[in-house]
Amino acid sequence: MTDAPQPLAPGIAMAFQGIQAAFTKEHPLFSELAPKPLRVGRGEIAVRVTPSERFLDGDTIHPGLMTILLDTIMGMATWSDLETFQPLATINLQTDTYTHAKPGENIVCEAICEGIMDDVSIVRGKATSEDGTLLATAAGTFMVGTRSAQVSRI
Amino acid sequence: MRRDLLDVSEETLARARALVEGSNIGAWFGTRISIENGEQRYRLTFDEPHIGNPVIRALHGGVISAFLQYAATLEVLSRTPEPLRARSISVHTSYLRGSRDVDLDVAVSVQRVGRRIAFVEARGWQGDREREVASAQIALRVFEE
Repeated sequence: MTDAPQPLAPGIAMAFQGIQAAFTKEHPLFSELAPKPLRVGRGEIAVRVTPSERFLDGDTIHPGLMTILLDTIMGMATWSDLETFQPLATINLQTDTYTHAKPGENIVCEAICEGIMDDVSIVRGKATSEDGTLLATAAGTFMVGTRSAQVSRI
Repeated sequence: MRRDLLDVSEETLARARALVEGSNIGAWFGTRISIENGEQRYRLTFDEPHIGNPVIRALHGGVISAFLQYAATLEVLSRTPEPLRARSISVHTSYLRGSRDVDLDVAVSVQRVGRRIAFVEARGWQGDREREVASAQIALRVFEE
């Protein structure tokens, strides 16, 4: 991801502004994690997060937090690849853990939407600590345009 | 090599609860553990930060997956005869149905605990066990203390 990001579709860019406002002001989980966008482009998202001690299990951050962060950002990577905003549902998600994050250490989460076929997106994600240490990788699929109650995870 | 598991008992329940007591994320999940029908049952007690989409008030998919993973680890660590440490290797979660803003109950089935790796399946539901909202295949790296 060294080239400049491709611009989002206008409707998606507007939706993201609303999501970011809701995250930072209203959502009890994400307002605490305060994700900072590092890169937002067509089909790709990167954010930086500083996890609080609330997610400690022993001396390190529980890897479940990586799953929470990666599910969120991988859904957003799917949205960023769409022309118009539609509800999403995670179909499945695999997270592989390399090592655990330490408290107070920033985490960079990146996701790339590889493509969307028959309303199913294929997405991969990665979490690293800010010094570049791998924390976890993820692969997931998302249903685009759900009509039932099972819509977006965000 | 295969490690045998202890039967579920007040002793294994106490071990699982002791692990939760020392854990911030265990408290964040509002973890409750009980014995139901001869198995340990893990409950995520619903709280607002567990919400994914505030409009439809479903649990966050990542929170569901994280709790399945947490319950699976507690099951393995509370039921092996010798004390072990465990680290998650992989969690593969399928989201079978939409979830709601209520508690999530989880049952764990340990498939095999080898010398270094444990394979576990965790299933979660909300009210009706016949209507699971998610299931996860989980692998853990285990270490002797």
